[in-house]
Amino acid sequence: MAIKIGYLDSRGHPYIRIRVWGLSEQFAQEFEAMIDTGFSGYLSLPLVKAFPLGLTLAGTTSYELADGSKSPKLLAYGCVDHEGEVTAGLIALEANANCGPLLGVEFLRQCKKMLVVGKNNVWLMDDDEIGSIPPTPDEDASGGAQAPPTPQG
Amino acid sequence: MNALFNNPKAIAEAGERIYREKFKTDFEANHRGKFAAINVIKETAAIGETPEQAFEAARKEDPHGLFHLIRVGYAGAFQVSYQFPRNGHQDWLFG
Repeated sequence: MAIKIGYLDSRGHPYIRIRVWGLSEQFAQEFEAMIDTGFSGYLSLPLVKAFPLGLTLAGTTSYELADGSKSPKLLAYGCVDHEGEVTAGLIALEANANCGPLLGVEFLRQCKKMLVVGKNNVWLMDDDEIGSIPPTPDEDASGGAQAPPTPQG
Repeated sequence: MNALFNNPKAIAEAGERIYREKFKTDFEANHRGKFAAINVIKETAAIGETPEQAFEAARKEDPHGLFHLIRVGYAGAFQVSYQFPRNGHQDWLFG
């Protein structure tokens, strides 16, 4: 079972350490990237942090933000290495320099990993390990989860 | 290079307009949830299950095209829930 370990920051956001590059791994740089399960993309990176990576520009797109507004972005091809596992995808370039690197659900999907968040730590486990997760104490003997109680009154 | 598309904002705006005018109705009926790469020069679209597939299909048709990515049936190709502190104009790259 391949388990990768990250951490929770002071605000409770999960982070892992990654390396990112474009044309060649010689351009790779390391980042602390937050995993945001509310982000449906692969990786979002501030433009100024992307400059040294040799990313290959692909086109433009639009983000839908949490407030429902839309924000245009540049897209570029790049690779992400997390503890020796390398994936490739479209990286959105964020003009806001205050943004940190943001990993999304597409990254987890490409890595075939599931995100497990504990009290103080974060784990990325292979998603084919899901069968080894023991049932919760609330599951009945038939193996199914119990339905929530019906509200009274 | 078409002088109309000399900045990313022009490409993005043209991509949204072309999609809305030429492809939205049909694609939402037949390709909901898929990704479309809109070639803003030739005003064509290529569909893919993933963003990468859509771009690959679009580049095969026209290696010199300028492409804007749409997700069919969604306001944006990607959704993001976390918003970092915003100071000043955030979309300066797009004018």
